[in-house]
Amino acid sequence: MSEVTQISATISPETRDLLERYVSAHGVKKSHLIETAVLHHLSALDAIPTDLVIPPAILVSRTTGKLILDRIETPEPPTPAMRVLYEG
Amino acid sequence: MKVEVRQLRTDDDCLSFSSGDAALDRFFHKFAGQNQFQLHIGTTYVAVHEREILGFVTLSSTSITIEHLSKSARKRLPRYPLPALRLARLAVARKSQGQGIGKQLLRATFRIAQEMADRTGCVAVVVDAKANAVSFYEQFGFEPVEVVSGELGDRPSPLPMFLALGSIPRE
Repeated sequence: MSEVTQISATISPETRDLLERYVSAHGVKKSHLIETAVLHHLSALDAIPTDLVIPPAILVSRTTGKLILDRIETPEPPTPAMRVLYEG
Repeated sequence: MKVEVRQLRTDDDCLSFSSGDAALDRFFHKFAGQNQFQLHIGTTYVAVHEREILGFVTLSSTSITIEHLSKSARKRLPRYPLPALRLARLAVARKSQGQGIGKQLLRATFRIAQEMADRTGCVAVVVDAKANAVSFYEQFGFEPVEVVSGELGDRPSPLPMFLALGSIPRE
């Protein structure tokens, strides 16, 4: 690739932290890491059928996020079906 | 009938399995082994009786990120993104349906989520429920969640559902 161009992207703070940690630990340039990662990702998507892919992360809406945090902090009691499942 | 739930093995006869759902059968016949033994992106557990596969469930670790979560809310969490276990696919052989095999696979999934919580952290089980299976998961307390990204590419799109680990009894 003889020419270069610039892109900008909005990413999560968590992904940015991972990126910063990796370049710091391995001494590579961010641009090199990002370009290599994108090429690997696109290559993998070409090689793997869609129905084989299980995305490694889930991003949920703010409303759903609130529900999830509530349920983690104060879990609902097991449902009757759940109790039956564990009686057997 | 004694049914054992264990990890898929390379010598299992996957091709004889038929659930009646073409997409799930295709996944199990062609990709479950590749998924587990070559790519290591998910593990399939099978319910077996005398080596015959009666059902399967494919699991993968995942993480949940919340859109626009404030820094103060994030600081209250012990780990973020939230670690979880994803139940990506579950199917029962046509001739074994209605005999509790799906429930056995679900209970095995819960046990694995609890082991994962003890070893590396896990706050919930997330399932990608096909439309005809939503009520099956609802009875155990799973609730629909609105996923912005990270859905399975299956068509028709499954409904992502969530169950906090605290709602699952300990073995």
